[in-house]
Amino acid sequence: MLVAVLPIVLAATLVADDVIEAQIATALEDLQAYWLDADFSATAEAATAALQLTEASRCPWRQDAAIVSFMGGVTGYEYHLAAEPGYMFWVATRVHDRLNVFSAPLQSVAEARASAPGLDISLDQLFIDSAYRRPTVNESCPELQLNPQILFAEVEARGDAFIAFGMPHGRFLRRRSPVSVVYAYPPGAGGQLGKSVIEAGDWKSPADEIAILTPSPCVVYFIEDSVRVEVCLDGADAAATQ
Amino acid sequence: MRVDIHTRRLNLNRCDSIVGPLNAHAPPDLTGRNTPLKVEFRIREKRALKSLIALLVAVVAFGWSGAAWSQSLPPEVITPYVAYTEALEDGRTEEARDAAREAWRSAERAELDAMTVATLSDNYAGLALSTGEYDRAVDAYRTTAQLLAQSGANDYIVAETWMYAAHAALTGQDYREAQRCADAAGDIAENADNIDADARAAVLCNSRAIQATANWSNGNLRAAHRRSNAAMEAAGQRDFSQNTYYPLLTFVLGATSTLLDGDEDAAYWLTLAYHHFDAQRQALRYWSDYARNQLDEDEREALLERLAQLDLPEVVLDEESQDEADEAAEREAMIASGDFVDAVPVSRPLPTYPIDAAAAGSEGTAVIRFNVNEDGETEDIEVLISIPFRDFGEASARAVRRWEYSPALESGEPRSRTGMVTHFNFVLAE
Repeated sequence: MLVAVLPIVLAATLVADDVIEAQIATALEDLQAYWLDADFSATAEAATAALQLTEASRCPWRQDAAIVSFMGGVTGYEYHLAAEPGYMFWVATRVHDRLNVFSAPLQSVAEARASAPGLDISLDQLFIDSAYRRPTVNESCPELQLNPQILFAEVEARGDAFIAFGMPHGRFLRRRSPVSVVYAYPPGAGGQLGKSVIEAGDWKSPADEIAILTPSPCVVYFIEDSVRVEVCLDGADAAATQ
Repeated sequence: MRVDIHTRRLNLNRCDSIVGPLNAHAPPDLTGRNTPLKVEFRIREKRALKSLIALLVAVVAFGWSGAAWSQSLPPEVITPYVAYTEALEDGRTEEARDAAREAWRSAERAELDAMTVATLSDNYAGLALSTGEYDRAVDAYRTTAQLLAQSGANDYIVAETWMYAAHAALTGQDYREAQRCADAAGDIAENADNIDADARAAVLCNSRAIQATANWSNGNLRAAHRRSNAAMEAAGQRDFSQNTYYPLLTFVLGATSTLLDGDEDAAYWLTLAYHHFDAQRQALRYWSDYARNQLDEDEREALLERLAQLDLPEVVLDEESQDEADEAAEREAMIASGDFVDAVPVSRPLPTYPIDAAAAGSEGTAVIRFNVNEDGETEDIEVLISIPFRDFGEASARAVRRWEYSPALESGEPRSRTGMVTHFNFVLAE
């Protein structure tokens, strides 16, 4: 009897795996579309959905998970309703640590904004349920569906952006070490807005090695002596006032 | 005349089970304004059908046969007893209470058998408790427990009755009596050989919880800590989370662990308190976050492992707490993005130890929320938590009033900064 039932159970499991993999594939397609459209809100939601499916699959530790969660972190940073960016960036770092997905700058951005288990009471359940607390790499994971280069795809800015600046000495005020753009999405935003930021002068910011601006489409920040700087995505309205 | 006598005890919210639908008493005031804490019962008016159900359940609970409840009684007992039942069914609680007392006293004078007198005293005790006659409720429950023991009633029932006496004493703020009655309940539970493991755990757990509450209310945090741990240990692997005392115990353990056990335990218990307390969620969150921030990575991972063993209830924030959480999240986002430069402390003198508390040997802790105005001065100082006495909160607030900050900046201009939170432990030197 058991011999007869076992193949049925196995077959059912395989069917369930196939179903969830098909759902993941669809979710990743949606995610790519939103990402390439620079739709932050939809991307954040799609990343959450795709990551949940991946976590529920038999193979959560796959490179796609790092890319998905990085996208969720970038877009959820502004729209933190759908994606918890701290958790997303933490997943990105965890998977990267095992599977070496990112370049050094991307890794530094994810690490700078990653939360950690037990740090924030509101993220407890996410971490408790997380498939990424214990590495269980499955050798037979599906092939990579998302190309990591998608994180740098040329997309047209639609009003939101995520720009990470490197702060070389990690201090409030820097006189000799200018900031530099470490990562920007859409990439063009880094060029436009990054130039304005770098030209504006020494940045007064939190004492982090990575500082992030999320213009939508403008953002205000401060440089030394509390000088207020406003920069916008189109670069037209950037102005400094004392 | 033939009258069936039965108990009304089941009208009360009971604390007799590890797993029960109990969360009856209001959450304690954590600001010390209304200390000492009170655990209150609420009586529900029952109509005829519910009384019948109560009778049936009571007969089963007491392990007595239905026949034992019926007997011929003298008129001086029957008359007030009938008046009691009628008044109770009509919702005239105070009249029912007085009639119940008269029936009990008459039965004593008539020297009726111990079980009958115990039943009548128990009826009165429940009503005395629900109408605020705490001392009399304690006396009546005490009498009931002693008579039940004389009658050879099941030890669990006797222990449970002592527990009721302890509840009544606690509610009436007679903490010594609460301790004594809880001790009696605990002793019976520990030594009886005819109580099953679950019932024993229930009595021990609740008696230790009552003692913890009494210690807490007296300002003896170390004893409250020990008793709370004992209550949790008595529960063992049983799910205790629905018990009336559970939220309070998690809070007591969270608060006392910050003083005695360190941040790892404090973070754990404060997290549970955050999930199980209905009030002061934002304050508990601030406090939990504070404790978590003292932990290293391994300790936080261990904390999460402990929490993962539990089924944490989902937290639904009330409107005010949600607004505060949203405001805090927004501010954190602004600070992270460089839009807002936070206020920076310039001078923060410490509070002085409250003299009365020091003289009484009392230790405590306080969590204070305040705003920093555009001139860097503190204002709108609010005591979120002050335990066990308000003195600790008041001393902390006086200190915070003298604090000075470099004001927060927004758009280059000084701005008021709301929602600052700080925490003080008051510990006496060994």
